[in-house]
This record gives sequence, structure tokens and C-alpha cells, in this order.
Amino acid sequence: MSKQKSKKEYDFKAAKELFEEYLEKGKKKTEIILPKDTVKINDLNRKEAINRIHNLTDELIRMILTTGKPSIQLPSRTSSNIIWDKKNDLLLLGKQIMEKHFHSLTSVVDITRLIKVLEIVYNLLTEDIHTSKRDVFYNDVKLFGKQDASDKCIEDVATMLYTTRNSTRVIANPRGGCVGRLRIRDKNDIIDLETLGSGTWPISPYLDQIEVLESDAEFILVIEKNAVMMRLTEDRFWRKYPCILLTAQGVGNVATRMFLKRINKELNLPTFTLVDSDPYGHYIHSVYLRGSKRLSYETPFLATPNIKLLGVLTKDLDEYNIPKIARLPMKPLDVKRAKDMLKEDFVKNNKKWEQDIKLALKDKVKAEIQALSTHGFKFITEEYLPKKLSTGDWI
Amino acid sequence: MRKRTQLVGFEFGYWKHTQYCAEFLDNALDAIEYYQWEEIKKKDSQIKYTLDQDVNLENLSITKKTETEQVDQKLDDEVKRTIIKDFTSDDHYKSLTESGKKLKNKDSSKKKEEIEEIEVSRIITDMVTLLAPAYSINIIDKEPLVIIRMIESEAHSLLTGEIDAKNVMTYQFEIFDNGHGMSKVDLRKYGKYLASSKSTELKQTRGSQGFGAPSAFSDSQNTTGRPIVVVSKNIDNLYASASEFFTTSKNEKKYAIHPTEIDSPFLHGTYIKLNYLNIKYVRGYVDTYIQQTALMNPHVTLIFIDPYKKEFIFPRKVSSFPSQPKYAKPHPSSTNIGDLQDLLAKSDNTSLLSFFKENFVRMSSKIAKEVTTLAENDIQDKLDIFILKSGYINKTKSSNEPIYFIRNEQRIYGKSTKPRDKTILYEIISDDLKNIYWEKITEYKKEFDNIEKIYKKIKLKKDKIQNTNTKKEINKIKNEIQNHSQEIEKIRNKKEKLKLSLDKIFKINDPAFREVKNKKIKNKYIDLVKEVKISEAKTDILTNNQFNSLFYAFKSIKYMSPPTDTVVPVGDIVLENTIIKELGLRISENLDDFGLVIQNLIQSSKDIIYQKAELLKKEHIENIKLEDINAKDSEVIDFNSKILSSFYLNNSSFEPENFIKTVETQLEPSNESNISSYKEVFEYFIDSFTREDDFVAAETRDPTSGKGLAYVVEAVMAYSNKLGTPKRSRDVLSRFVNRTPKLRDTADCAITKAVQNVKWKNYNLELFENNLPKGPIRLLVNVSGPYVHLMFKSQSKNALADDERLISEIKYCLEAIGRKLRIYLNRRAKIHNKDKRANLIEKYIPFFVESLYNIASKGGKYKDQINTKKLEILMREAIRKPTQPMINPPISEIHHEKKIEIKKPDVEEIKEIAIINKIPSIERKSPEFKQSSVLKVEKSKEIKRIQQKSISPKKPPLIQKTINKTITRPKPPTHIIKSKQTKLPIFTTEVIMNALDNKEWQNIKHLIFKLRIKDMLDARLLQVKLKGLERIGSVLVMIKMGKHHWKLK
Repeated sequence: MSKQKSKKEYDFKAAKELFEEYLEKGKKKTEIILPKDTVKINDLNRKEAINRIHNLTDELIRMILTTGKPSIQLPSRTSSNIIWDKKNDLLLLGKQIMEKHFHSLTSVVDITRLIKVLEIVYNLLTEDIHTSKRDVFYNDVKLFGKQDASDKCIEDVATMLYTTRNSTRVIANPRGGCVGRLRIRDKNDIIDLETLGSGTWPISPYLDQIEVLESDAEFILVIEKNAVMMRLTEDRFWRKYPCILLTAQGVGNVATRMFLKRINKELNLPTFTLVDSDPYGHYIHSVYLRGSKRLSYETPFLATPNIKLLGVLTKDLDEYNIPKIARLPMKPLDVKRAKDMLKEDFVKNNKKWEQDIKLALKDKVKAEIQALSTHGFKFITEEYLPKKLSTGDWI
Repeated sequence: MRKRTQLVGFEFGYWKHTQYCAEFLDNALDAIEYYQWEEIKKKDSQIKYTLDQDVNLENLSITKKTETEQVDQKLDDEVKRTIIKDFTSDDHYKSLTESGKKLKNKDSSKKKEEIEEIEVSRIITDMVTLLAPAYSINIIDKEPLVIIRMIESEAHSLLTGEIDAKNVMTYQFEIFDNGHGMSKVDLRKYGKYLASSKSTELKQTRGSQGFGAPSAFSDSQNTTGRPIVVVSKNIDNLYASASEFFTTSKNEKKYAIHPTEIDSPFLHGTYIKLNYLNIKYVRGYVDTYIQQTALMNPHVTLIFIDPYKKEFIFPRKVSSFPSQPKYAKPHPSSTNIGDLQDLLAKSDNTSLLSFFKENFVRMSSKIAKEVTTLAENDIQDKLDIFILKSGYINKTKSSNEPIYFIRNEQRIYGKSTKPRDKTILYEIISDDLKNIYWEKITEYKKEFDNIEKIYKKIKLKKDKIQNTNTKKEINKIKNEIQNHSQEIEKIRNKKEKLKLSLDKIFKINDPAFREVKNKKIKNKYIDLVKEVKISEAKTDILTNNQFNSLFYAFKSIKYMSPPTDTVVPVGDIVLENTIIKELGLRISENLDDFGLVIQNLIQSSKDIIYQKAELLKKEHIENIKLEDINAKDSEVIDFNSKILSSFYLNNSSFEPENFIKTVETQLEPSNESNISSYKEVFEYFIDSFTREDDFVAAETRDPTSGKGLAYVVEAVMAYSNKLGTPKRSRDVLSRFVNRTPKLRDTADCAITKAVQNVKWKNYNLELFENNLPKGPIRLLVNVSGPYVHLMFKSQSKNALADDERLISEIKYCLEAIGRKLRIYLNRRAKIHNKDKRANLIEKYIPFFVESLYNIASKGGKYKDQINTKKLEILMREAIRKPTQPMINPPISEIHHEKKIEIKKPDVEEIKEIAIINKIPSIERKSPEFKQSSVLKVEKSKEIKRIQQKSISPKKPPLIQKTINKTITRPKPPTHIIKSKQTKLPIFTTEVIMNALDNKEWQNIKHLIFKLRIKDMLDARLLQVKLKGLERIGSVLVMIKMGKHHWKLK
């Protein structure tokens, strides 16, 4: 006999407030003045990309016809040349340029590879298909040698065209699912993410094919573990509380993060993460927040700077009376990771987060999300999440 | 008891072949050089070697000719050879004559004659077969030529028990040279052991020992028992003299065939033939020796035919003959005691002073006097007699001995009335004098002992030097020794002073003396006095003591270095050219046209300013600022005109207008960009034209001297991939002393040590394990000097003795070559890298262009305008160009044939023209005129070459090197060589036929008498004509005892 628990009705007050806030913000249109000599990096559609490629090749041919010595001008991707405007969420590239000459022993191979990749990209664009990095490598194994070379060239080509890597039609493998109150058009198919049965929609990496049609969600929830995602899906969590659920099954990979950013930006919704209560989970959150440690050229496009850590916080373990037995002791690696996290700027700027990590280090225990199930399988969906979202208990 | 062969150094072995070759080749080359030098001395000689034209020996082949001729003569030769083979001893010829006697019952003398005649004709045929090819192409009298042939044959009947039968063969060794030839007197001496002729006058010659040839003869006889054949002809003789002889143990010659006069195909020269036993000939020794000799003696043609019938021909490679080195007198520091004795014995000088002055170099009368005084001082101490100004006094050992004083006085003796010089002996009586004397003597002895002590100290310290290691200590000890020597000098001075004081005392006091009349004592002291006075001694009657003191004094003085004009090196240009031709190296010819890059190009106006500044500085005007000095236009015109007028102009019809026209069209003032591109043009040239060159560098050091020997060191190195890296280190280095190769004792030689001491790694060469350089190189080092026998380590004369000076000289020489090599190798590496880079880049062009094309052909500006080929070509070209230097203005109308050919007038004429016509075009462009217009000429010449890309073999008459030279006067007309004869002889056939008789046989001497020929050349001409007549058939010829006799038909 199931106990009839008093089903508290959570009003999701805090979340709703945040949602309203974002809505207001989104309405304001601020004039953005780009600093001098910078170029804005954004996605390109097919036509634009092809145009830019043609411009490049015309310049090269002109160089050959006059001096016979072509060279390519690559914008420099050092940290001094990349400007990421977090507030406005803009990625700008400065004017420092690296020039690669053909008639120089050091760069003859590089430039040949670049042109080859440019050709590949061009073909992709003209034929309107996508391919993976590995396929690019296999296109001309002899020229590239190792896949590292071709990967680097792909990035270079994206820089040359002042665009994102996605626009070059070389995409990463997808791994992740999404479900919720969202309707998209994916290559002439309209997909309603509510009516997917018991499963989730596997995130497609072909973001240029995806068009967000409409959504009435009020927040996005990013979940670390697939199991928890399935639980929430089964409960049709979004029916109660209008939201979009997303999982990357671990550390967010490029496709998931890009998708997340896409919907975050377009729908202007507050985003929360639900991760394990351990340093690794915090790390996963940080990846969503800021990208991987190495600020590469692409990461600004993959980071959602306004993502909030919802759970499971260390203090929740006590608050929600997770029994001590369900908590696991920290391993030395976890301790190390926690200490490294403390050194990070984004942790230092966030007092609550800092406190949380310190608390975790103090007790040296960690717990998984599923530890919440000690209070029942439906604890997450019926009590934990709603309470947190209502009270605004996030970092 | 050693065998005779061992005593003279010929042992069975591979080296013996080379020894024979070396011995006779040295003599042959010496003879050739001697001949040429003698002929050059006579101003108008027509029979000296003409070296102007190249020797064309492509069709010369002695073996072929001998083969063809052998067919004809086969039967005769076979008969003769079978006779010879059966005999084993010296008495072969006797038995021949004996058997001849037995066979035929005629007069023994006539038999002898016939047999001799057969023998002589055999000699002649052998010789002629060897010389026929050279004779037929007419080089035998004109070219310096040496022909060597070795023929191998079985030796079974000549073996003794100790020589292994299998490997030993008989070798017939023939050598011919057309050098000076031997006169009859010399021929008589030839073969006997001679004393070394090197001790009187020294010359830089090759010959090793003075007794080389006779030792070869004795070896030949001992092993094969066959006589030696010598045919030699001098230019003074009409006929050659042929003889066959044995040398005996009494150092005499026993003739098998007495010297007979024969006709010879050569005008002058020597031919020697002998046989010897040795183990089987192996290639690699004698041919190497001859090849190396040819390298160092490119003025001679060498032909060598080895026992396996392979011909090695080394034609003459240069057109210059080396100059004759001067005779050198011995230098004192290199004369040893035996030499001094010899010289004294041989000299005609009566007094020692004149002996020294005349027989040594760097010996002035002052130094000769020094030597004698030093000798006298030394002998005084030995014989205990002092020489004082007024007389002589003996040195007593104790105060009780009588003190004698000797003096020359004038006395009247016997029946004569005039006083004569006599030496008188006095004894000192007075005690006072004795005491004074004794004081002085004891002091003197003290000083003498001090010197002895110091000498001992010096000796100890010298021994110490042997044991110390650090240079510091050695230097310290050397300083101490020097201090001691100075002390010795001071003590010597003291001794002299003591003597002087003695002198003062004994001058005056006559009554204290008592004359001694005892004859014995008197004579003893008179003899001692004579002995002490070395300076008046006669050179042929020096006593032992005198000689020893003299030698000691002789050696202790420091002499000036000997003169260095007694050495004649081969010369670096000759060495380079020889090795280029011999090894077939590829050297770009155009480098000579270009010369070296001038580092500092300046405008003429600037040069004028500098000169002015120098002048002002000389006049001590201070505060000169270069900016304040100006060069006027007129000065610049003058300056430039001088340069232009110094070019040699080659046109017979000189017209001023033409000159101006050519100046206007060919010369332009150059501007900054031209000056800066001068170097680029040079680099471009070197890149394009000399990239595959090989490397050759030779260096001849200035002659130096050390230890009294003057010598000069030179070396040449060739680097080429064609040569290949030798596997053995000994194939890299070839050593030469006085132009003879030294193949043995390589490791001992000073030359090898010097080569090992050079740090070849600095010059980009690797090393073998024994520190010789390793690489595709050949290195030849030659040391020349007149003092041959003192430079060597041992009697075998194959290794030079270690001498610090010599080794450092060789090192400097090699280092200079190494520096040039380094430049060459770096340049090559640069080119190699450039090529590598170019290849790598070229590899990627197709890929690049393909990708680019795939994109661009589908859109964009150049959609239909491009194709892959065009792009590839453009990119490929961009690699090759080392950015061809752009020179303004682009020159397109220069024709290949246009050269500035103008006659060479005086300076003033040019000046006038320049001023009169004011070179109007240059005036017009006057703001730029201040730059040098010479550069432009250079550039146009260079651009011509770049654009045409064909290397013109001719040198244009404009030569850069004549800048700043003064104008040379035109050459004086060469004087016509006058002939000696007043009447021109007319040797028509008529004349000759008239001279001949149809009854009597006449030989050439008769004809010469009849036709009154006085000149050797005319005699030759007559011989040639007679031969011609013989060929036609208008005269009859008979050969008797080697001489031709003619008769009319």
C-alpha cells in the first residue's frame, strides 16, 4: 500500500522569478560597440561561408599570378588576440595575424594542408553535408600523417573564415539526449520533444539544420547521469513544471554543449545543472560554465556563462538528511580535484561555491545523485527539485 | 761478410723495382733540366725545348708499334734470345765468341768484329723500337721526354739456391731521356763509384746519393750476370756513343763492347738498359711512383711501359720550364766537422780568413775575424800561452816554474847586414815581476774556474729541462741559463782585461828579462807560438788543436740566415693546373673573369674626398670634416678619365666620335641601387654557374731557412666527389722532396706529422684514426731545398727529419689551404640546402595547386582564367629564383658582339677628348654624374652573361684589374733572332749528290768535311736529307758498326 504523502505543491517561485528577469533582459536591446580592429566571430550559413572561401582563393591566386609565392594570413589565436565578452556573450578576434608562406621550408606542409582542408570544407558546403574530424583525416592520410594535424587545420580554417567550427561542417560526435517542452525543426522534420515516447531525443550535432520553433519552458535542467534523466523522463517532470531536460551522460561533450548554448541563447532561459555531490560533478558544472580549462578557440561557443549549479550541493546532504552510510569517502584524487577547484577564479568569485567545496573537503565525503533515492524513488522529482527551485537554492 | 747487394740497399722485394726506377728517373730529370738551363743561357739557341704547344699523344703507342715490328723481326730476335738464355755467367760473351771461334775457322779478330757488330745492331734495334713512336711524331728533340720500359722474362737458369724459384723473374729495364747526354769523359766515369759531388757547391737537385747508379749496376750484374748498355749523345758530338760494360770490384769498367760511335735517332740524350732479378712485378708501386713524379714535374712527358705491356703516358701539362736554382754555398750552422775538414783540404786559399769568406755564405770578413779571435782565445787556454800585444807569455801552473816571454825582434844574423825578424825567448828573472805575474795568473785561474762552474750549472739545468713538463718551468730555467751565459761573458771580459794588464807590465821592463839560448826550449816555444796564432796559420797545415779550437769558434757564433733565392718551388698556379688536368676536375672557367668581390665600392667623388682628407692630414691640419670637403666636377671628370683611359683598347682606327658614341651607349653612371645590387649579381653568378665545381687550392709559402738550410714548402689539395674517399689513409697524402715522390716511411716523416697536427675538423673534414684528413681529397706536399742530405732522417732518404720550423711551415701552408676549403664546403652546403629546400617545396606544389583550383574554378574572380599548369609553373619558378637582381634600367639592347675596342692613346689625349667633347651626355645627367661610371661597365658585362646563359670562352678586352694601374708602354718590337752562319747553306739534292761518290762509301763525317758544314743543326739537316734520298732510292745505304754510309747508285 503506497503511502499517500502529502503532495506539496511547489510553486517554483524562484525559478519563475529568474525567468521573468531574463525575459526583461532579453527585451532590452543594447547597442554593442565592437572594439577597434576586431572581427566578430559568428556562425555562417552556407552561402556566406562559400563566399568567404572564394574570397580567400581569389586572393591566393592573385598572389601567385603576381609573385608566384602565395601565403595565407591566419588570425592569431593566442589569448592576447581573443576577446570574449562574457557580458554580451561575444567572441571577438583581434588583428594579430600569422602569415604562412608557401615558399618557406617550415610552413610549406602546413599551408598545403590548410588548402586541402579548405577544399574539403568547400566541398562539404557545396554538397551540403557534414563530416567528422576523423573523416577529414582519412580524406588524405598521406598529407596529414596524424589526425592531430588535420584537427589543427580544421580549427585554422575556421579561424581563417572568421567563423565557428560548426560552420565548416566538420562536427563532433553527439552523445546526449534532450526532452521537454521544446519544438524544433530538424531538416524539414518537425520534432516535438514532448512526444518522444519514453526515451529522449538524441542531440544532433548538425546544429545548422536545427531550427528552434517554439518552447514554453521556463528553465533548462542539465543532468549529469542518464539514469536520473530516465527517472525524470518517466515521471514526465516537464508536465508539472515547464522545462527542458538535457543530459550529456557525463562531461558535456561538444555537441551537447553547443546545443545547450543554442537553446539557452535563443530561448533566454535560466539553466541549472544537477550533478553528483563530488568534485567531479562540480567540475562538470564548470565545464558547462566556462568550457574546459584550456581556453581554445571554440570554447566560448560552448560555454553557458549563466548556468547555475543546482545540486547536489554538499550542504544538501545534511539538509535533506542523506544518511551517512549513503555517503562515500573521498579518494585522494577527489581531494586533489577539490583543491584545484578552489584555485579557480570562477570559484573564488562565487562565495557560496567556495563554501560548498570547503565543506566537502572538511568532511571528505561525497555522494551521488541517486543517494537521494534513500528517501524514495520519487524524492527527486516530488520534493528535492521542486523545493530547490522554489527556494532558489542554487549557486 | 755482407753481400754487395745488401751494402748498397737493393733487396729482393716489390720495392726494388721502384728503386731502380727512382734512381734512373731522378738522373734523367736532372739531365733534362740541366740541358734546358744550359740552352737558355745561350740566348739564341734553336735546339732548346719548345714548350709552347700542347703535346698530343693520343696516337702514341709504343707497344703497338713494337708488336707490329716484332712480326717482321721475329726470327732474328728469337735466334738471338735463344743464344742468350742458355748462358748463366759473366763469361756469356766470351763463350759466345769462343763458340763463334769453334764454329768458323776464320780470323778471331774478324769474328770478334762481326759478333760485336751483331751486338751493336741489337742494341740499336732495341733502342729504336722504343723510340720510334716518339721519333715519328717528331717530339723526340723538341719535347722533354723520358721513356721507361720493363720487360719480364723467365729466370730459371740464373737462380741460386737461396732464391725461391717460383716467384722470381728477370726484368729488363730500359730508360731513355733526351736530356743533356754525357760527354765521352763522363761516359768513361759513369758506372764507377763517385765521391759525393755535393760538398763543394750545392744546388737544389733531385739526386739522392752520389753512388746510386753504380750500385744499381752492381746489383744488376750480381743477379743476372749481364752487362749494362749505355748509349749517350751530347749536342757537341755528331754520333752517339754506345757501350756495354761490367763494373768490377776494383771499381773499374770492363767493356764487353767498347764505346762505339753510332747514328742515333735523337739529337741529345741517354739510353740505359740493364737486367735484374726480382720477385714478380706487381702493379701499384712503380706506376704510382711515376704518376706522382708526373704530378710534380709537369714540364716533362713521361712514358712508362710495364711488364704487362700496359702503357702509362703522362704528357707535359705546362708550357713553362722551371727556372734554374742558384748555387748555394754552405751555411756555417749546417756544416759539420767532417765537412769542414773536407773543405779545408780541398780549398786553395792560403789564409783562413779568405777561406772562410769564399767558402761559406753569410761569412763577412768581420765575422771571419771574430771566428779566428775566438779560436785563438780558446787555444790559448789549451796550450797555456797568452797572446799579448807586445809578445807572448806562457802560463805557469806553479810559482816555481820559469816564466817565458816571447817576442819578435829585429836581429842581424850571420853574414847579412840587414836585420831580420826573429822570435826571441826571454826568461823572467826579477822577483817583483814574478810576484806581480803570479798574482795576475792566480786571478785568471780563478775566473777560469768560475766559468767552469757556471758551465756545470748550465748543464744541470739543461738536464732539468728534460724532466720538467710545464712550459712555465721550462721558460724559467731557460731564463736562468741565459743569465749564466751573460755571467760567462762578463768573466771573459775580465780575463781579457787581465791579459791587457799583463801586457802593460811586460812592455817596459827590459832588464828583468834574460834571453834564453837553449835551443830545445826555444824551439818548443817557437812552435807553440806558431800554433797559438791561428789567424796566421795556413789552411793546409792546421794542427789538431788548432782545428778543434777553430771548429769550436766556428760553431759558437750566430750567423744570419742563409739567402733564400737558392730554392725554386714548383709554384701554386702550376700545381693547380697540373692537378686539374691530371685528375680531370671540373673548375669553372668564368671565375677568373670575375675575380673576387670588391668589398667596398665607393663613388669616385667620395674617393676624391678621402684623398683630399689624407693630404690635409699629412699637412697636420686638424679638425677635418669630410662634409666640408667637396669634390669638384672637373676633378671627378679627371678621376674617371684616368680610369677609363687605362683600359687597353684594341681598335686600329680610332675615331673620337666613335668613342663618344660607345661611351654614351655602353656607359652610364650608376646609382645607389646598382651599387647595392653588385653583390647580388656576384652571388647570383656564383650560384648559377659554379654550383657543381670541384675544388683545387695550392699554396706556396715564401722560402725560409732554419738551421742553415733554406727551403720552401708548398702544397696543393683537390676536393671532388669524383675522387671518392680513399679507404686507406696513405692514399690521401703524397709527399715530395725536391719534386721526387717519397713512397716509404710515411709515418716517420715530418710532413706526415705536420699534416696530422693540423686541425682538419675546423675545415669541415673528418679524420682517419691516425689523424690524417678523410674525405674525397688528394693532398700533395712538396718541400724543396738545396741541402738534400741534411734534411732526411736516415740513409734511405724517404722521411724528412723532424724540425720544429719545418713542421710549422707545413702547417701554415696547409691551414691556408684549409681556409679556402672551408669557404668552398660551406658554399656547397648552402647550395645543397637550397636545393633540398627547393625539392621539398616543389613536392607540395601539385597538391596545393590542385586544391586551390578545385575551389577557385567553381566560383570567384578567376573562375575561367586559370589552369593548374599555369599556376604550377609560376610557383615552381618562384622557387628557383634566388631573386634575380633587378637593375635599373633594364638592359635589353646589348648585343653579344659589341665590345668597346678603342686604341690606347696617352692620358693627355683622353683627357683632352673628355674635356673637349665634355662627354655631353654625361653632362646632361649631371646630378647623377658624381657616381662612378665604371660599375656600369661591370654590370653590363655580367648581365650579358646572365641573359645569354652561354659561357663565352673569350675574355672581353675590358679588364677590371687594370684599374689604378699606370699606363703601360707599348711593347718593344721583338728582335729578330740572328743565325750564326753568314751564308745560308743550300742543301739541295744536287749539292748532296755531287758530294757523294759512286765508288766509295762515305759516312757523315766525310760529307760534313766536304760540304764545309760548321753548325750542328746543319749537320742534322744533312742527315735528314740523306734519309729522304734513301727513301726515294737515289742513294745506297750501308750500315757499318752502327754508322750510316752512303754511296751513289
